[in-house]
Amino acid sequence: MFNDLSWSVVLDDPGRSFLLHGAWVSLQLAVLAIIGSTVVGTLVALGRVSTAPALAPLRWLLSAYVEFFRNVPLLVQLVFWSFGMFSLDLVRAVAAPLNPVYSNQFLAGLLGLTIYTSAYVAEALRSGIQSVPRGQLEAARAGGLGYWTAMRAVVLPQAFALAFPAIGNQYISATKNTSVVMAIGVTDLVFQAQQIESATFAAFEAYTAALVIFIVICLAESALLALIVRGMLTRIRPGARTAAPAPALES
Amino acid sequence: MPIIEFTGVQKSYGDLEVLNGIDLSVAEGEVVVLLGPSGSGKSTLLRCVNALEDVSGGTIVVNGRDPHSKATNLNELRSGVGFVFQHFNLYPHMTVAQNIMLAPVRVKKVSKDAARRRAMELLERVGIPEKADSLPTQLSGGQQQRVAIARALAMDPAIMLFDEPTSALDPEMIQEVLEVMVDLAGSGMTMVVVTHEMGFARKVADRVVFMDGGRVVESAAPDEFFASPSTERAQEFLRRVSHI
Ligand SMILES: Nc1ncnc2c1ncn2[C@@H]1O[C@H](COP(=O)(O)OP(=O)(O)OP(=O)(O)O)[C@@H](O)[C@H]1O
Ligand SMILES: [Mg+2]
Repeated sequence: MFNDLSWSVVLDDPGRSFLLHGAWVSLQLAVLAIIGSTVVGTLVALGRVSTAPALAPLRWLLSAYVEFFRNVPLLVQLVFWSFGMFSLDLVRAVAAPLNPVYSNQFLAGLLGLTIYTSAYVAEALRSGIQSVPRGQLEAARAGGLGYWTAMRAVVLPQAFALAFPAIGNQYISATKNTSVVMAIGVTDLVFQAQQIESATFAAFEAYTAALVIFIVICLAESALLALIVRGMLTRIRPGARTAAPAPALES
Repeated sequence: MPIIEFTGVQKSYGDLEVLNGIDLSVAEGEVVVLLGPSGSGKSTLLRCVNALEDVSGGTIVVNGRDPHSKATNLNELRSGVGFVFQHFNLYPHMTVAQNIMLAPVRVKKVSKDAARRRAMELLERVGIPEKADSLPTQLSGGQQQRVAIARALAMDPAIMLFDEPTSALDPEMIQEVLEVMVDLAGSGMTMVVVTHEMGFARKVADRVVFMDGGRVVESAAPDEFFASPSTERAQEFLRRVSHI
């Protein structure tokens, strides 16, 4: 029943290079969003767990950020960044130096995905920070370390280890969510599959190829994360070997 | 001049008055053991010395400086005050040596090599040099507490504060920690120790301070205090601990 399939449209050029190019775009988007959301998420989490009375407005703002971006669908956010923000001359001007490498659609997608994922990473890390026993910060402070030094050297490494299963799941979600950017015109993997389909009418082959590439990327990522988690957690909690991120297909 | 001086120190959590006007001074080189029933404010008093807690009233002077004044460089003041916690609070993601080196390297900007040498000296002093590259979770409770003492000593503090350093230990490990503390007291360190180890208090303390209800109720030489406590509360407390 499958002999009417022609896998050559995806296994041979030009289809193959279309797909590889799309996969490369998706992968860049995923990696950059993961790095970006780790940085932003960490800063947001640090802001949210701060206790200085003077930072109360900041804490309010950050909690509004987290609630807002977790409660608006990703697609709506991407459309907003792409067709809303990037319609402004100022934003286009700021992005212009990057355009030789990345299109405005790509940048809008990256921005949207990063800001969206950061909200989740921040929450995961915040609960990680709160699971680090209070005595850890106290011991560091009692030794004369300033608050930020103590956070960086003592609390954050433990918080990351504790939160990494949850953060890893967000990384995998971010990778899967890259597929949504096609809607704003990014030439990602799904977009390229669609190109192949419209040129060859081999819809099944084109989308199956996209599916397989996504599965390979996500499973590899998930295996890598599990390895990292094991390394981090066994240091602070001997015996904690089971708390790896859920496999990519379940999360 | 006393190295620690409390004058009318008050501390409350909401409506709960935990410290009710504490007057207390500790001389340089003195070993003071703080006794008192649970909830009497011993930990709170100790934690006010290096501003792990803030105070609601009164003043504290530590090494000539007020830990609760905005003008004080708190990190510098804390560097001069070692604190040993009941639950050790070692950093689980660092080796024993790294635990000891952290503050000297980050706060005093000591080179890693010099900090490591000092860490090894201190581990020698607390009797576990072979554990330098172990993780805290690989150590027994008594060994962990000795590392915590070494960590506090690494900043060359003028004062050491101990909050029930042996209360979380299995009985057979209490002695090894007390021995380190006895040795430290012998070296002339100023120490304030909250403990239920009456043997340590008798043998090592220059003075026993008995607290109850957030006040210093009695302050006397150990011989005097244990032979004939002058207040009813202290007598009752001693009766109770000696019955355990
Ligand atoms: N963060 C806090 N918030 C509210 N109440 C507190 C807090 N910390 C301590 N207390 C209360 O302050 C009182 C004194 O506590 P503290 O820990 O100083 O007593 P302690 O003498 O050290 O007792 P123990 O022997 O049980 O350690 C207790 O009633 C305690 O419940
Ligand atoms: Mg206590």
